[in-house]
Amino acid sequence: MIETVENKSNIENEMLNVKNFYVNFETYDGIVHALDDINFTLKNNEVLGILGESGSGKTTLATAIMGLLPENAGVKGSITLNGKTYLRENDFNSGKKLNRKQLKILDQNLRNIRWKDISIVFQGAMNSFNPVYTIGKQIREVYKLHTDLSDNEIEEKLLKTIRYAGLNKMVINAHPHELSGGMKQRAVIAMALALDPEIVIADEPTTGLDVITQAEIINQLKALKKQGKIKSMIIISHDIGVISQLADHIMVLYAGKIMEYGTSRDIYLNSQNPYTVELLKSYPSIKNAKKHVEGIPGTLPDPINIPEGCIFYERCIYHDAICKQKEPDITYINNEHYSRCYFASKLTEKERVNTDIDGEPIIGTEKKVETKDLVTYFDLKKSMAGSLFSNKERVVRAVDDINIEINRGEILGIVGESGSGKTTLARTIIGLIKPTAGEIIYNFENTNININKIKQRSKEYSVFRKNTQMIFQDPYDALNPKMTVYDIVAEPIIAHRSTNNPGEMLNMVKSTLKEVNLTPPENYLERFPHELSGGERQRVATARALVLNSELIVADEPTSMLDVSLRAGFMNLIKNLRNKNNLSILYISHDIASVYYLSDKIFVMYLGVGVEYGDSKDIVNNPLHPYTKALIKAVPSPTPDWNPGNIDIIGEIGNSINVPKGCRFYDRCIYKQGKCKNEKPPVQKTGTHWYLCHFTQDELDNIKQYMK
Amino acid sequence: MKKQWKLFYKSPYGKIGFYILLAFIIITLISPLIIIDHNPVTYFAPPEDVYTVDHQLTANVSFTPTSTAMSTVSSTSGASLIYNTGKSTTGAYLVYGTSIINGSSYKLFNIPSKPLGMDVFTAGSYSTFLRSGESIPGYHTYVMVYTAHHLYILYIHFKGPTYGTGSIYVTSQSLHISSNVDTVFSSALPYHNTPVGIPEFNSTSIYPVFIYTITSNASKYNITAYYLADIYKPIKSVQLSHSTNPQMHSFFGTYYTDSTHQRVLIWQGDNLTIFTPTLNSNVTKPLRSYTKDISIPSDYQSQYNPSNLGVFMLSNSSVIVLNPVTTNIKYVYNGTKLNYIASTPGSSGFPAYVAVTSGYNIFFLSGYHSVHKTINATYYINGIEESGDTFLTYNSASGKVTYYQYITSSQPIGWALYMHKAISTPVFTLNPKTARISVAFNSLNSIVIYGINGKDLNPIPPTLHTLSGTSFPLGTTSTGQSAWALFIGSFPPDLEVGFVVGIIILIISVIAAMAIGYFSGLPSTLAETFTLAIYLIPGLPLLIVLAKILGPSLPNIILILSLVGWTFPAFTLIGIVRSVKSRTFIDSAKVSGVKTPQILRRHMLPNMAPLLIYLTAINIGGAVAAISTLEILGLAPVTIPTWGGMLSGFYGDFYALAIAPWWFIPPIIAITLFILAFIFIARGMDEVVNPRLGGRR
Repeated sequence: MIETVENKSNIENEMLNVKNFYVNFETYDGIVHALDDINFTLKNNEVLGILGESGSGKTTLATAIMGLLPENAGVKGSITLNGKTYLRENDFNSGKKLNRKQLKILDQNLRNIRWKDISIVFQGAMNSFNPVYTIGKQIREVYKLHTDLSDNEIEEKLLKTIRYAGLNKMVINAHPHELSGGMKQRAVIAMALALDPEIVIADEPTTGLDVITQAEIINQLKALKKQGKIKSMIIISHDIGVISQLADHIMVLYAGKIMEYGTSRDIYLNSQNPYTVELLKSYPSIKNAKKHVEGIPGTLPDPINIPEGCIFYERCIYHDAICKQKEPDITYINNEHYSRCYFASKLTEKERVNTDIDGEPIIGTEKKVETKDLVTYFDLKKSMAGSLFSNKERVVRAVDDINIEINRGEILGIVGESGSGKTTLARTIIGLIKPTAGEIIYNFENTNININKIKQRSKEYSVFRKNTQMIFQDPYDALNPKMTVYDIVAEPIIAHRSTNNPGEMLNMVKSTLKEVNLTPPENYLERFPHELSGGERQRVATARALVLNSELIVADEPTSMLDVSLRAGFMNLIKNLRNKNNLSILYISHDIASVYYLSDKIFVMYLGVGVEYGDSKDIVNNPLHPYTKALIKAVPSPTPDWNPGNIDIIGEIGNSINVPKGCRFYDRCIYKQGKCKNEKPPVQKTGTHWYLCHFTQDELDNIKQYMK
Repeated sequence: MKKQWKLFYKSPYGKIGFYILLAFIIITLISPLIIIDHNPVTYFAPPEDVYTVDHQLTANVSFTPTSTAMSTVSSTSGASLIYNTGKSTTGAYLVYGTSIINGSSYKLFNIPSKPLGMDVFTAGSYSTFLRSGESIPGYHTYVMVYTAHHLYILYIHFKGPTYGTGSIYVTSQSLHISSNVDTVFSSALPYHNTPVGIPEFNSTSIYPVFIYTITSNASKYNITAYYLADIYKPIKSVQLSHSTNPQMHSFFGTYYTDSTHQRVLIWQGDNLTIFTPTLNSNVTKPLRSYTKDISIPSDYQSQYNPSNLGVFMLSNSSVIVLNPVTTNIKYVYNGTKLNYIASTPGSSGFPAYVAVTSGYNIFFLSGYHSVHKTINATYYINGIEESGDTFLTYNSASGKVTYYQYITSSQPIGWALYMHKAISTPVFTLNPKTARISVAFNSLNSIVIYGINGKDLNPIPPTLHTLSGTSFPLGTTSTGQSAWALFIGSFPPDLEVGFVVGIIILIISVIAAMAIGYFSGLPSTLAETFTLAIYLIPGLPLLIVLAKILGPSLPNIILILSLVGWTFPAFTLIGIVRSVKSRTFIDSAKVSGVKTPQILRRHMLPNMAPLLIYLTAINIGGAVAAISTLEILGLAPVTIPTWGGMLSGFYGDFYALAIAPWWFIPPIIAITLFILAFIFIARGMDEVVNPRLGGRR
């Protein structure tokens, strides 16, 4: 179909052509249809973004292009590079085995293509460096394997590549553990660029990185593209924000099928597919302010038994009778934009943009929890090896002098990069870690509970435990895989002996499951976590936190492992629960957009100290601390026009062991002055909004002016 | 659970392992039914099945033995010969002797005509019997051979400082007797018709040696007595009062110093003639039935009127005892189809045992009308011999010999042997090489000598038909234990040790792993160090030392194996505990207010479970391997049959490995399969625990 619209010039210009491409995997349970009728052309100097949730087949496509599919994969269709078809039907086992000669030829073909013509940055590749070799040695190996260059030439090329990737040449002799995540990712990119490939495939290049590092990596990729170092690129991500900044064309994958294809602008501003529309609507953005986001209900269809009709039918809000009966064909909106939907070009502007703003919640004045100069250090000397090999006191200042308070019915969001101590703070407040100094005072059931002054067996302790609950980051790990949903949710009831009546317990569990939208609850009671989707798991974890009607919930990055479509639904759930039950919630995330969407107040942390605190609107729209400014600037926005420019921050977050003497942010601050180095900054306060800096906003502006 | 089982069963390893284990468990459960013998350790095969001779000499002689009986006289200090008459390859008749020591044969004397019988006796070292010109004292053997009209007396003298080195001197006398010579016998050998035994003259007392001949002439039978010293001059010659051919004769009172008490008994049909060479009167005693066999307890030969007993006589249906002086008769036993009789020495009163044979059976009488024991010899007995308290039955046509000793014990059969060819009457002889009483007989043209005491027992190959009627489907061990019984009997203890040790190890290691892995701090570190210390002690020496200290018993073995074995799984589990501990749901439980024991029970244990099953499977196999090791080294209780124990026999006797594969192959297969089963099960479990392995192919 796609050939009909391709004109001749396009063909000459095309770099990679994937035609009628199918991939399925034979497993014990049946045949998994991973990719279904994929057609696309990557032109010279084009960046193609592949957008999709987990399970949509993005990575399978990338590995298929590299010819790295596992043995149990069956392939139909062909992939052509520069007019040369190197992967075609029957190349992989589609019924019959290849003989040795055929295998050899295929292997030869692929070996010539891999890395020289197409290179790939795998997802999480930064963590797959061999820890015992230096970065330089590992990149050199690429040259040694694929080229006949002399050692000197290799050294020259290596230096060049390292510089391209934005790395210092010191990195060459560093071992992987000496580098930060961002530097490692740059090293991976350097490795991918080593042989000047025609195409670079970047599979989730920023996943697992902090928002600032992510922005920098994206900038680096953009710069490399501009310099022509990267010729053509396929960027794969579930993050709408990341794709939007890099891609010229975007392909939206859903359950192995292309749902929509078009230019970046077409997709973001003029999407003609309900899935894309819904996906974009699910994505909270700081630009959208507190406009209501709507998730996509339901989950991906079973890849083994793909249902009749439109694959998105079950979850689509526009679905009609015809969608159920027959799979929609591709509809072209224009030459470069097509959508797999019966209603393409019928979607209106209104449907595409969120307009609702949720009502303001009522926030009580009663403090539920308050920390006073809370300090949590981890003593490195405590371990045996630590005490043997370290002669000076070494502590990790994970939480250093934190004062926060959460009122009844309030959501306090804590943001900061990884390593800033957010999670330690949460765990200290919930009582999983003993604070080193300072006080945490809870107010539950009209009694003040000072966690430092109560004993483990006291009544107060049990009240504290009963009223504080936590929702963890990883829904796959937070539920005991050996327990049923009923057992998981009922466990706090049993632990606190809230009731001994099995009937009552069942009712409590059922009503809580209903509360978290797991309906009907009877369907879930006897299921095990592995039978649930990620969103459902996180709901079960939430139900467990809610079952005792606790007053304080600590949510530690509860959405970071969820797909975009589920994320919004979960955030709305939290919001609704807060409104309904007047819960106090401590919400931790590095995703500023989602924190902004949910919280009433935001607390910004950097290396164990709070640097800024205020109303969420104030923090996002009017950041005062240099760190917050950078953080907010780095948050990607899902529009093709977004360009953060310079993020105004130096390097990456350090460790909490050797913290700067004065301002914690000193090393990374672009505004830093002499006194910042040794003097602790004071709190600058306007109303409830405060930040930790030596300078007022005017002074900061002046410094910036001066720098220019 | 069902799904996990399916996954397990899908794995070929798991399936095979499961079926092997199932087979083991089934065999264990039915082992009491198929074991045959219920106490395999204390059960020993009847000795006749597993006897080994201590000295077996098969001497090929260049002469074909004639039908005449073989006689043997041997001495402890001189060379010993077995005397025989035979026919040489040239057809000449001769007397020859065969050395018991090396089997070489000596031609002693040529006999002009066909010898009819022979008798051998040894006179003591008294100078009276020294022939002129002989200065070295020694045993003097006389061989009497008679032909139809001649009596030849050969004097065989060994001369030499030590046995085997002496030369043999033969001097001969011959006596022509005009009437037909029926029997020649001597008072020195007053045994029954076939002169056997070793009359050793340990005292220097003088016993007069008489030689008697029974001759016949036209249905007239004469008995003539001679002194050995002067053979040409008959002392007394008497015609027997009956004209029936004497079927039996005997001499009573060999060792009587007073020759007036000596009697010669001659049975002619139903009549018994009692003759005394120094008295003038003959006593004739009619008997009620035909006497088939007699036995005089050897000690009665030196006692006058021993408790009014004397000669045991056997007829077809009864055994009577006769005092030859008073001629009183007493009934001893009534039976049917009685054939042969023999008796133990019986120094005073009734002898210890009087053995009576009837067809296949041998009855041991311990008193008047009192059968102590009946034994079925499994063949038709056509002869019985006794020596001391032991008996020998045989069937000379089929070459079967059975030796009975310890009649009172539950296994009175000492040994048995099947020559599978005709043999001559076996005789007891002293083997100077071993200084043990042996049994000698002719078999075709070889002489076979067996020691009567076995040196050790050999394993016997698998057989279902043994002499004692027991069946040994897997043969026996060298100690005569049934390999089958041991093998099957080993199933329950081995499985018991395996499973109990596996489970104890499981419990200890789970507790230790939880204590060390879940908790932190000094006690946990110390416990871990302690565990590591135990882990690092070399296992086998520790096992040996512990086994030695605690002593061999099943509970101790289980204790020892558990004490040594728990550290490895504990370390594996510590890792699991630590990794589970860092999982979020543990934090989640803590936040929910769940107490530590509950966390351990509800969260930790289920998540360890798959690995626990895996480890237990390995432990059970390992425990069986370990107990086998201990058994092989001989450190485990010998009172319990185990596969390892079956193999321990080879630790000191590798030769047995070569000759008795039926003994060691079954336990080796069992141990290997059992351990393999658990390795396979562990592999299957592995696929349950790590389902990805299966998908990877």
